[in-house]
Amino acid sequence: MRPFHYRAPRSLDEALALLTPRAVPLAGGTDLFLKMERRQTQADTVVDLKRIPELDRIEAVDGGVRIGALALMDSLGASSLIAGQYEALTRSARVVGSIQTRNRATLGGNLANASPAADTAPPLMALGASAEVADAGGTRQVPVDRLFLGPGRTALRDGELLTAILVPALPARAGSSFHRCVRTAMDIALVNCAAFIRLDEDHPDTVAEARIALGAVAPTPLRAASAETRLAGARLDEDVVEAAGECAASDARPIDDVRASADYRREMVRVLTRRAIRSAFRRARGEA
Amino acid sequence: MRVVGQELPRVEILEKVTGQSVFGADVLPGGRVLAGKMVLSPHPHARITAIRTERAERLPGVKAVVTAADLPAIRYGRFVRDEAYFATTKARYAGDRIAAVAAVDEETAEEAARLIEVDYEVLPSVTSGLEAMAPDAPLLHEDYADYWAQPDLDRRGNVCGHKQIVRGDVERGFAEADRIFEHRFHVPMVHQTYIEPHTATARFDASGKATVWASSLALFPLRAAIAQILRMPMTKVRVIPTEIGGGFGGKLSPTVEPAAVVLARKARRPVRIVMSRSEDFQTTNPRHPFHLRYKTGVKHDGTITAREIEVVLGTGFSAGSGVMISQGAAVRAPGPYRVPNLKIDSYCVYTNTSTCGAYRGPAGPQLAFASESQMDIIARELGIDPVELRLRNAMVDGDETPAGARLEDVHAKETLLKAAEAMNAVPRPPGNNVGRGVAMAHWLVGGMASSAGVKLNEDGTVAILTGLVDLSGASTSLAQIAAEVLGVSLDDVHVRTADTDFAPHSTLSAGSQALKSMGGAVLLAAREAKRQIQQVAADKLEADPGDLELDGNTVFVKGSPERAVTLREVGQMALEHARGPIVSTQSVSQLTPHPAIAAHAAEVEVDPETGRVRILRYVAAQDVGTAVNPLSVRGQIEGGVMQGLGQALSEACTFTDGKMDNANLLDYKIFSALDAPPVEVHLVQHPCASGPLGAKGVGEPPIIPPPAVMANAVYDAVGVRIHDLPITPEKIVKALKAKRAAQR
Repeated sequence: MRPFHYRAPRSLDEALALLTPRAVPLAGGTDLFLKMERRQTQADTVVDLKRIPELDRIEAVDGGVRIGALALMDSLGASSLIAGQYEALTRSARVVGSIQTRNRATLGGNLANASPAADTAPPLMALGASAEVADAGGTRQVPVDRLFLGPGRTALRDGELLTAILVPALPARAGSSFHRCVRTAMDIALVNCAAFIRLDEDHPDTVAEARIALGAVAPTPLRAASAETRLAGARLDEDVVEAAGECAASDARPIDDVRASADYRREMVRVLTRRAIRSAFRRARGEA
Repeated sequence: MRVVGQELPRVEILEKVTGQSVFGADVLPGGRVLAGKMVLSPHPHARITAIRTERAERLPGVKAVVTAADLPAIRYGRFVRDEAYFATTKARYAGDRIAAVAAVDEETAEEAARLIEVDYEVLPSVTSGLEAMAPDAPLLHEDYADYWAQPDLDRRGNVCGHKQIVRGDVERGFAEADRIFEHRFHVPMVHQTYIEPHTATARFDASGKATVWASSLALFPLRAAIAQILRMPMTKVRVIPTEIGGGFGGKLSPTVEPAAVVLARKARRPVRIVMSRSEDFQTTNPRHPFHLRYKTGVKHDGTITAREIEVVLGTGFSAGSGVMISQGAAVRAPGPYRVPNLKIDSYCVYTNTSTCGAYRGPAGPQLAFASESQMDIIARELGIDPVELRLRNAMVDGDETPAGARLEDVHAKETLLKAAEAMNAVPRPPGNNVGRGVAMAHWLVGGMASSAGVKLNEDGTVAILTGLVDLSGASTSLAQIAAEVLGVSLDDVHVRTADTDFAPHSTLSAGSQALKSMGGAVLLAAREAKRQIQQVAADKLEADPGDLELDGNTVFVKGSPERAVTLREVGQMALEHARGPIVSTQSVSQLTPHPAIAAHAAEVEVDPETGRVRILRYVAAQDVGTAVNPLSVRGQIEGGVMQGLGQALSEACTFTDGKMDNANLLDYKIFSALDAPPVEVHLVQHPCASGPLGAKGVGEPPIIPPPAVMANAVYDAVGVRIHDLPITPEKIVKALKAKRAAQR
């Protein structure tokens, strides 16, 4: 690892002022230090965000939840504000890395690292969340859908910092779920999948709105658009579930790598999408 | 027995759990330690046309750069002298040593390593043993015929050792068979993945003596290797053991130690080399990949009439211990069964990978996966219960190994029945995709040259001195044996693992024989010390030495416990006594091998959509002789099962264009605590005639059956047979698809 400068600002403004092109923000460090060790970053300054007050807060806002970028995976997984409404997010936060990792790793870090396999990305996409991004000039919101540009690349501009995630209130008759495939219990996802289902007010078997998001099957986490279209307005029976899985499999663009073949990943998209839809459906009906 | 057989915590456990133990990277040799770094070939096979070190040498902070030019031009190897420490004209695997550097810190050393320029002409490479046997395969050692090799070793091209065993008449055996089964299996290379990567710290003093702190399982062979590679007398090489963060057979031969020594000599400063995980994966001594063909003839009642077996093991760029392991594989290939007619061919083949080594139970899991998968297939085809088929063929006392050694203390049937009973004690849960599998395997535990010293201190406490690295509780068990003989408690015994300058010769911490060998030496030494104690006490007690017993830290006349002296008194009296201080060093060697049996059974649930295997229950029965410390024995068995399950379901070193794809812990997937099923351990205890106080070796057997157990359980659950380890979810899904397609 190359030597680097370490800065620990006490306020957001101070941090933003330090974020020059050669500086990199440090949250939990679980991804960053590996990159530094492998010399995958040119940064010579590390800006530690952990001393900025309240950047790790999880709070109820307008019926939804605002999650500070520095909220730990462990806090996220344990939060009653999240667990009640956003099952997909809770489940994903509880499986990232190991227990040790979850006590260091943050939600902001998991997203800003922009791994195609990031476990919290598909749930946030399915839940319609937005990222709050700040720079010296102020803040803006970016839908999590549009946050990822490629492996390790986000829509954040130079000098911008991811400060929070805003998850909108869960509508009535809605539910979400998260499923993933791994090789051993502690693993990066081979495929992950989150589903959000809102049921029709008058027809409790009919989908009013669906969002399906997939991870590790494209250069970025991905919305399965054709699966969503197939579900919208449909009476949710096994044939529809099957068909939506098929659509998601065609939406995915997986590759072969040392972890799994593209064929297996595509097959798992089929399986996980079906399972995610079924569990989101059950939750939307208040069954689980 | 009072102490032997007790479940006792390890004698060194407090230092370990409080972080005081000194491991390889913790050693403080005195003086400022330089950081050493190896320069490794990036190519699996390449001619080296030039090595330029000038830029590295000029880098500020660099204190030494060494290449083959700094070492005597020798090749070494126990079976074939085919390995040079640094490559000179050819790199034979991606990881072959080219040079080493020492610098003031790690960053500078890494930078210097990058500045060493090597010109390569890349050659075609081969990483599969089977492919390396093909006539048109690239030849790794063009001059192999000129190398010194052990006499009678059958070598040809990339085959650096071919062992054939023929017993009976295999053709007649097949003619007598009602059914003949033939299957091929493949087991990839897997790595030990111990916690502590290879490391060495070396100091070279003015007298020309090298001191090496090593994380090694084999202090004396390491001293011999360093002395040979650097052409130094053994008096000038001292190897000091550190605590070891796991080895599993991966730390038996030298890796970075000679480089650390030669760098320290050149830099005139102590040097430490700590491998990165990636280097450790790519350049140490993993388990041999195997291609196997099993042809078995059976009667309708399941009696085996013949087995014809061919195994090809890829040994890597040098023969290493592969020749011995391939020969051992030939002896164990038929499994723990009576097979009247046998033809076994075992080939040890050069490949462009690191030299494989003696990973826990070498050849065992590979052979058992093939043999025990096929036993399962045969049982199903014949409509015989898999346990029953094994019982009908299991070896018994008096049977011979394929090499002709007569076996005693065989408890195959009882061990298998114990596993089966334990599994059957709980009914199978309902559900379509639940299955059970069983497998049985044996290991042959020899005994190697070992010496141990036992002395009585003046306060009546006992000290044991050995050169045995305590890998998995050996020191505690040695202390128990001495305590048993001398009538003291475990707290009164201190075991010291000393370095090669002080300790008498020791066996390796390997092959499940550490306790058999060193325990045997300690037993002899303790008995001799006891005899001396009896002599000294007899004069004081005016009794016949033979009438004296030792217990409760006293020596007393049999039947008259009031006529007693304490061991403390004996310890002091001995100093004034004509015979002098009580001390004994005893040796053993060439001990009779004994078999040790492991029979495992598992219940799994397979998710037919994802292929994920969930282990619901795991039962491990093992024939352990006298369990000296049942706590250690159970720990060994649980650990072996866990490592075996990793190999069964998720581990494999994979290669693309000769380079390892997954030389990191993210993509080389070992089982973690979260994957570990509870293991129900059942000990079969019958004192073994050839073990100290009846003990058998216990370390290797439990790692051998798990891959076969999983293959058989998965088949039972979902009806697909995986012939190629590991049994990944992906392979299961693919096989299920193929099965459904075939049914349509």
